[in-house]
Amino acid sequence: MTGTALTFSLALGLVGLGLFGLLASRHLVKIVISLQIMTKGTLIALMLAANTSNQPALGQSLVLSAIVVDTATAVIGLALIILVKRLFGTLDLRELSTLNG
Amino acid sequence: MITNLLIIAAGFCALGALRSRSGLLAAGWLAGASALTAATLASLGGVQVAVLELSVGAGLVTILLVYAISLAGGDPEGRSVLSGWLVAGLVMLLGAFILLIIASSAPAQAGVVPADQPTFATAIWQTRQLDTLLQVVVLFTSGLSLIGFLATAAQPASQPETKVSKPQPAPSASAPVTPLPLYTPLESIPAPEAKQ
Repeated sequence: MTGTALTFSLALGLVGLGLFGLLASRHLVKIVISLQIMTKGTLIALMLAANTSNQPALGQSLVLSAIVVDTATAVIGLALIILVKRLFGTLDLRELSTLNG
Repeated sequence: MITNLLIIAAGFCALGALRSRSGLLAAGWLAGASALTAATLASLGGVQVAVLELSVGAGLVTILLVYAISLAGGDPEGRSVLSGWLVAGLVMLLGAFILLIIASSAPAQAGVVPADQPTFATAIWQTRQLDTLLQVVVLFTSGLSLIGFLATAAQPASQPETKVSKPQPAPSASAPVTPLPLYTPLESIPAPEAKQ
């Protein structure tokens, strides 16, 4: 396995780790954290792809876009978490899915 | 080599964030993962975005997480619905499938090196000018949404908190309708309950 392939596999592993947390967690804060971890792996993969295609400036601009969208997702997600906690008193997905309100 | 070690260390911090039972500890682990991701980006040549990731990921998002956990409470997570081994197996299968697709596809041809390599500033402000403006709109919208959500969640100190559990009956035609306040000041947000 070449160096680039190994690095890409490690970045993919980071994405997989975030996906694991996304599927296995039932706490809303942990879900937001899992999304953040998935984004970290994606950023590394994007930068690696930019280096491979000899377009580092374009790759950095794409990484910037990903950081912006990820931050906006985290901001809105955390605001929704506060709202859910105030309205329903719990952040457990299983309890939230059984509410009839 | 160094890049791979940094990614492995970031994965270790990410695993710590997922396994942590406390929300605040998980936020701390995530900050470490963000810092190591920034170091990885710098090692790959993206110095500008590494600084951005360090300040936004390890700074802003961590502070927001701590703030949200302090308001919402860092309750320990309950037992997962799905088996951890089952989820890990599914994720590994998906990863193997993706690697198989990449390995079986045509080898990437070396990109033609342009005569004039654009700089990061040129790519942001000239090549992707419209996209940059849209990102500003997205960030501004997310800030406004945050203010709107927090204002909606705030309740006046004189009224007790009500939890939504059952659907409310429809009001009768003769019942007076009380208009909802358009804006609730942030000062009226009750202080978080002190944990004993």
